[in-house]
Amino acid sequence: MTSNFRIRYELRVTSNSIAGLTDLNDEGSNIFWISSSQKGLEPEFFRDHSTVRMASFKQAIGFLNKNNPKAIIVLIRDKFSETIPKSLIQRLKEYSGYKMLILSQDLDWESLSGFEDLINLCGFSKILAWPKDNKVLRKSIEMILTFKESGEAPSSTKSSLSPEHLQLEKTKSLVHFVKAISSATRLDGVLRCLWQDAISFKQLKAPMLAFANTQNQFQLMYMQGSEIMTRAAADVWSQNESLRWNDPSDSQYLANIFGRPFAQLLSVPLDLRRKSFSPPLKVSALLFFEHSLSESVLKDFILYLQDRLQPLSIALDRLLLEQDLIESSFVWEKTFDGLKDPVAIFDISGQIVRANRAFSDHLSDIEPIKLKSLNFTHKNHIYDAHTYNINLGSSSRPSNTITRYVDITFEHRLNQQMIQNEKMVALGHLAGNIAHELNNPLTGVRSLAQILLTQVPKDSTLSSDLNEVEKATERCQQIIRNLLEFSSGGIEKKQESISLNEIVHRTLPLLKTLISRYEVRLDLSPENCDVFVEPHLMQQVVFNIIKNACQAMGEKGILHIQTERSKLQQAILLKISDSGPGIPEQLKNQIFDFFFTTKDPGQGTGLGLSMSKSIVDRFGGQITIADQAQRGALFIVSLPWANEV
Amino acid sequence: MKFLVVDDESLIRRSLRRALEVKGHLVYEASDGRSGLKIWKDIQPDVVILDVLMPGLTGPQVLAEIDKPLKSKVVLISAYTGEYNLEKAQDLGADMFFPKPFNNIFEVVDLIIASCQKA
Repeated sequence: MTSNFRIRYELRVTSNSIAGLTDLNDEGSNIFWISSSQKGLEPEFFRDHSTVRMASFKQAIGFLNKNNPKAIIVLIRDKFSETIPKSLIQRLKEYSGYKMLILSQDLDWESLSGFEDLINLCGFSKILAWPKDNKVLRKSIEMILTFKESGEAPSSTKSSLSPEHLQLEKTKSLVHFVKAISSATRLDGVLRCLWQDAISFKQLKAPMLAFANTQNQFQLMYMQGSEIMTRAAADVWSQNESLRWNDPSDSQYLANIFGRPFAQLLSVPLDLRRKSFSPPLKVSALLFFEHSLSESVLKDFILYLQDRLQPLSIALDRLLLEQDLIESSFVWEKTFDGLKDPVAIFDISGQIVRANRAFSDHLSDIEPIKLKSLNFTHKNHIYDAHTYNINLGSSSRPSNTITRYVDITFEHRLNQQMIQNEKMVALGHLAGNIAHELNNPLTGVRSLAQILLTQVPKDSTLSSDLNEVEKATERCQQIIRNLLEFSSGGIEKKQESISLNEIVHRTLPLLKTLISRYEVRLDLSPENCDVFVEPHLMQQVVFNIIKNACQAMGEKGILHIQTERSKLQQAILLKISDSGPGIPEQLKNQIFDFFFTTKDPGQGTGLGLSMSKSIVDRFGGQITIADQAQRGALFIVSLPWANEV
Repeated sequence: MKFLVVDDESLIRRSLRRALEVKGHLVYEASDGRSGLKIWKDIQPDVVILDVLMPGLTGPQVLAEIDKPLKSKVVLISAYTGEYNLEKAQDLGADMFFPKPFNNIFEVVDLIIASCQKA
């Protein structure tokens, strides 16, 4: 059993305030020796003190499952023994208030992992490396056997340790505390750490901490068993800055929160750098200890605490500030990403430092040069850039720019539409004015021609020439009539419910000559196709579209005229298609424009389609041009069904 | 009968005059409202053919200025069929209303002569 293992041991004295060590049998003690080793230490030398029960790991589990011995547990682990089963460790954990000595051949942390919890839960525990000689082992075990509870600082038994040793232990303990609390990653870790450290003070309950969270709500953190809980407090705690005990306002404060009285209470005000509220609290956090310590022990405890106040405050500050930071960072992130408009933050050299979700959704693949312009188009959306200087640094000059890209596609199109409408109205007025102006002289010309006709011989060339003049003026008058109708609206003419099929039937004879050279496919729906329109105007629409179709086809072609009822839209559809060359994509938008025409001068005024659109719009319908798989144009006139329920 | 034609369009005055003179009537012309008013007062025609929209005094304004009760028959002619229909024409004191443009000058003239000769 002699081997050169470094003896490293950690001595932790913890106290479990629930089931106490007082339960132990004072007449010697029971020792439960658990070992799986074949070549282990034999505990003969303390058989004279106590009752020793030996068991292997497996047996130990079995025994412990049925019994709850009040014993010192000695757990042997050498390199010949198997790994201590988890179930054994678990079972031991479920114990409370016992003492434990672990003898382990290896003291590296890996092999001892799983034991830390166990150690913490024990009343007294010690891990020993394989003792160099039996003397050390004996001494250790004796120490365990003679260990009695005391309210003093850990690691000392009054009788056997010198003052220097005591001081050393105290320092070690403080160092341990500082290390532990500095590495706490959560607020509840601080409380736990403090509690574990102070646990040797019996008659002390777990500490409670009053503080303000990130939302400036008063909170009280406390321990319930081994769990950390938090409750909201309605009020702020006492702003008395002195450490005190048994202060009635403190007792009242806690009584209000927990609904029970608090007798002896130690209150420890903490001054943190982190200030909540405006104006800031004098006492940023308050630590409470409920206890039943005697006066002298209380004094020792206070001294003990005062050594630890600074690391405690620092840790609390750090953790609360971290929480604040994370929370505000979270809020900022959510806000930034919640903005509907793409926003990007640029540094001085024009690189993007940060962009929000909307930016990455819509503008992530844009050419960087576009982002610098005031206005640009990307993927069919038009953006307006609004840029502001901001200062994210410590100097007084702006360090960054932030740009918000506003999608103005809709407004832009709306604007275009409005301008277009206004143009149309203006043109309409202009046309109306011109028409009226022309009417007068035209009437005169026609009338005079009629008179002249009576004064020349009927068979003469002069007569037939004058006739032509008169007919020409009549045509002029017709054009003007059309123009006036278009511009003034013809609202006086009454609308009525009439079948679109009927309109088609009335219009076709007017085009008899024109459509005679084409193959006409008439496909009128047998269903009810009533629409609420002014029949003459509607005829004009049909006339115009068919005329357009014929003109597109030239010498020959197929003209397809179809009506149907769309149940989905409660509308009647008139579809007129030709077998001409079709309408190029870019012209589709312009085709309904006033005076737009692809015909040669003198062949058509370009009024037909725009007038038709105006008429159909007025009756609550739409004209659209559909894509044809084959060549040719397809005009679809859609009108609300007159019999819609 | 004595006719007075008040219209700013010379071809209209001319054709009306021709059509009426062929039937043997006497025709006076005025090219605007002001001179029309003057001639009306001077010659006291049987029938006044009055255009509505003219520069200067409009047809209705002329009607307002002339002494009432009207001794002449008044025929209003206008391109604005919507605003000046027969009812409005009667309100203004006119006896007839013809919309412009005329399809057949002779029809118009015959109608005017027919209705004015009844009186």
